[in-house]
Amino acid sequence: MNRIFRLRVAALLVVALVGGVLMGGVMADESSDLMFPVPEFSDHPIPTASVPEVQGEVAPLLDVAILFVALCLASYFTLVSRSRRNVLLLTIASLLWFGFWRQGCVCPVGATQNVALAIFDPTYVVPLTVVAFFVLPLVFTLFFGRTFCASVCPLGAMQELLAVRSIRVPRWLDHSLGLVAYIYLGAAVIFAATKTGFIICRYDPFIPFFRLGANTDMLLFGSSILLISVFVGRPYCRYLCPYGAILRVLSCFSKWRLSIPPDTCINCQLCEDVCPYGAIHPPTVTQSPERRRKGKRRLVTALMVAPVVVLGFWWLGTALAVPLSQWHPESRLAEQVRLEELGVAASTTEASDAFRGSGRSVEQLYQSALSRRNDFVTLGGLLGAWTGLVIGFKLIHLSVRRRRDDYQADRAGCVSCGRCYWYCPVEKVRLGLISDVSEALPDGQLPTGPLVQLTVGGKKS
Amino acid sequence: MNAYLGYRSILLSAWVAGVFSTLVGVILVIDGMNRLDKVPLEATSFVQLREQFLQQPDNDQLRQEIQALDLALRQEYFRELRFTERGSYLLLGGILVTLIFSKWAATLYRKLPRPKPKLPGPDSDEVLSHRGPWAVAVVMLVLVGTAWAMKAGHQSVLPSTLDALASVHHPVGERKSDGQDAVIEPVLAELPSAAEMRANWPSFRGADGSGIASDQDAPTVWDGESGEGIVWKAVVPLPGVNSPIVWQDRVFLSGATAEERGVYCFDAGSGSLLWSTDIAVDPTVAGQPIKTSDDTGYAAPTMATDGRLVFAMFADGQLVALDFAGNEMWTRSLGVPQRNNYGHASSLVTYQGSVIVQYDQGSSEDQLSKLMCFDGATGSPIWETIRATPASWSSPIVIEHDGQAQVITCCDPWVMSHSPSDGMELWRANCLERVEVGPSPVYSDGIVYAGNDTAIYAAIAVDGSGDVTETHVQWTADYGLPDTCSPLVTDEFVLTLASYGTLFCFDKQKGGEPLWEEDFGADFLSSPSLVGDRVYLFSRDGTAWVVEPTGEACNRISEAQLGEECVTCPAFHQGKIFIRGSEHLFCIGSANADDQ
Ligand code: SF4
Ligand code: SF4
Repeated sequence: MNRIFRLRVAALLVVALVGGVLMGGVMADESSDLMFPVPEFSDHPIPTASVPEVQGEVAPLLDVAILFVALCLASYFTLVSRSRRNVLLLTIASLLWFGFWRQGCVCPVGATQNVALAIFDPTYVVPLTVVAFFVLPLVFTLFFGRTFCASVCPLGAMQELLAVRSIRVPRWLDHSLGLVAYIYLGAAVIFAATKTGFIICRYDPFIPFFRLGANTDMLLFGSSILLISVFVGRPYCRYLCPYGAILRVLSCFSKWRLSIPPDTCINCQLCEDVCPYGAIHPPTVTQSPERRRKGKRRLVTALMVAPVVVLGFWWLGTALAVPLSQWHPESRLAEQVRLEELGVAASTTEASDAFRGSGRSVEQLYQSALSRRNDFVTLGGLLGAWTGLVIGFKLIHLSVRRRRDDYQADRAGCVSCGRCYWYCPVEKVRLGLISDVSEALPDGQLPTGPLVQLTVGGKKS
Repeated sequence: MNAYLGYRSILLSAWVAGVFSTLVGVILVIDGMNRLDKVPLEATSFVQLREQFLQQPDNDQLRQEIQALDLALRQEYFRELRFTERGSYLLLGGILVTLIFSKWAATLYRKLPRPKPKLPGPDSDEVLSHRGPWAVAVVMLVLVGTAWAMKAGHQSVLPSTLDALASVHHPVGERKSDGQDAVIEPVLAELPSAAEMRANWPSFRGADGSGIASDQDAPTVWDGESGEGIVWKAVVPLPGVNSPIVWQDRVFLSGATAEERGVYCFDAGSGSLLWSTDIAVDPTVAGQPIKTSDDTGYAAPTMATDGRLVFAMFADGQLVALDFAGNEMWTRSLGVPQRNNYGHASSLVTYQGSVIVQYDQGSSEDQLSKLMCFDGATGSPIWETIRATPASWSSPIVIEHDGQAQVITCCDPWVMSHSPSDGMELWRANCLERVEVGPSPVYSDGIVYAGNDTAIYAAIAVDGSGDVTETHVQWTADYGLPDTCSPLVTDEFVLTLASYGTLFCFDKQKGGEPLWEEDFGADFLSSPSLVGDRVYLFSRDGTAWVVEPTGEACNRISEAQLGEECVTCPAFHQGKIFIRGSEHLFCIGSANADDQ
């Protein structure tokens, strides 16, 4: 019943989402027609453009305060009260506030770019609010694990709510796809540092929904991510989110973090498949000497391959100076102007017309585009080296074997959503719902792990 | 029981919310579809009213009607927009409520899993460390592929340095000065003058097909391998043995394989590929067998331009015209050439905005060979002359003598002249009996020089009519005749180059026995060219010689290497040499040679 019900919900969501997408497409198409001529034969006043009022001091501070409170609550709900229900309510609240009310801005994910730009360009003054938004979740993660992802991040919240029918992504696929987020992070940093653009914001798939409007491409992208979220838990968080990439790393070193059972794991296997994000790993088995030897060989190979990969990708990156620099609007403009100068451009563009009206010389434009392209030889190399480093590290990481005696939430991958609590018999004993773990086990099943007798409150008897 | 009831009502709520969301979604979609191409101020009634008003500009009532309708249409539009906006919020709310209730219901109905006992075997970490690296390797491959695609998809038309940029000037399209409407003028609406044609390299062996450059100077030393003297070299995407043509700051080439064909435009200054246009195979010839040989391939004819459009032809008889931005203007299939042993190779030539094709094929009895002329702008045929000659591989030239233009062609057994305006034959001379004609004719000072190995070489005065074999042939030669390369006629000499590597020099006035012969010990398919007093020879293996012919001997000036095979003819433009090797297009010369 539960399964069929979930399927139905998934189907309904799909229908509604597809409807939304189509409608969005229609709306987006229409937006191009919004340029009306002034009404005819009337004294209709042409509205003058107005600049919105500067935000006062209070609003940004309020944002930071709300973020701080939300983080505290999230950490409390996941680690202390261990209440999935509260986590969920907080998730909805965060989605409504940070997502729909604040329209996804400012958000720590995008703040990464402001901070990167501030580091590379001392003339850029980054608002302290933005720094706070960037730093607070990092600090919380260092102490409590990814509680920010659990219920504060509006992007995560949206996907969390849609994770209705998650299929299990094989771990090897999960690990390899996860690399994309790190590369995206690298690209976002160099693009932000060179003022090429804030790509995280530009390609944020959730913004069209938070703001109820976007161009068709972004709507399609966003809708696809949402659709995928129904079947693959948090695809953006796992495979794209650049901030999540940082959080994953920090979370590995967090002082405290979520543990599935409140006390010792009894290896009952009940939580094994419940994590929609594939973040619960079973205990490892003892390896045969043959396998251990193989594993060592794999590690040695990985250690040798890693520097080659770094070098190879560094070289590849240097070769991408032209395409990377062309992400900058000015470089694209230079190409267009050059095509026009050569007489081979099909037509002029709004940007090139504006440029010709600006009085700036073509040489200056070219000069700037060429020096940017030069910069991108180095930056492309750096991005390549970073990519190589991430890949090399992943290869080494994959060849290092870690021993686990019980079921554990993956330090990096667990977003502290708390879904697994309910399944854990030890948790049920803690909550006083049962008096002995065996009551929670399916008939005839005995836990395979060390059987610990727990009393109400989760203390060992 | 109570719990069950609670569960039921929550489930019901989830369903109601879900159905509601779906309905809202469907209504929004239908509404959106209905409005898809509705532009308020383009409503028929409104347009009609406005038209009426144009005829009766003083009709006040009409004016008020328009005003009222304008307002109504706008209000209607914004009402619809608000409808969509509200609908979206409703949809969002609906989805949220569905989610909350369904989640709630699912939570209430949640059941514990019944995990199966673990089977012995490698654990998931083991599988991960086994498969993980392969998956990472696939990601690496994808990244490399993406990088490659990015690089290929983002060519830059900016050269690598500003200095290189400075050496490229004269944009072809005249640009209005700043502040004026920035619209690009069509590329040379008017036909270029003869002088402009000569200053460029618009067809095979230059404007008059003589291989003589209007420049007086060109580089003499280069090395394709080390890059010495090479301004740039660019990979030509598809192979072809056609030679580059140059119009101002653009170099054009075509390339083709059995499956693909393309026309390419390179920036003469930087060598960047400005555009490349894929030409689709004409459906009428698709799948038909096309005879080619290694020496011709699928893109042997050299392109031609009249300064407004460029024309290209391929082995399957497809003729195509493109504008200077690479847009295909028209294309015509002339039919797959029949019984042409080596594949079609004759290059194109233009005359007053038309393009002329020497399309010889089959045997003389077949009467398949044609000389054709098409309107350059539209591709419509202007005239076509059927000729009883077998297939040939030589290219036509257009000359002007005494104010009359003539198209000169070589075929078995005739050297023929036709009027380029109507295709009427002007004269013919029999001097190519039973040969497979390769070399093209050359015109100089009232005389056409044409001939072929195994026949004779003849100098024919062009002022005759009818069969002029007996009356107008000034001299002949029967030794030292070319088989592929076209001759070079200087002020004093006629130079012929045999493909086995010997250059023969004849007295331009007398012919007869060669004055001298010089062996280069290499194979040649590229015809000799002249810059100033210097003759440029490119051998098949890429070695090039610059020589200065005198009455007595051939003085070798320099020898240079292209670094790859070469069977095409060079184009000379603004002190630079453009030559196509087997893989690259080379620009030889110093970067600032054209600043002089
Ligand atoms: S991974 Fe990124 S998007 Fe997902 S919850 Fe964390 S910060 Fe937000
Ligand atoms: S809390 Fe549990 S269910 Fe949620 S991500 Fe972590 S391991 Fe997975």
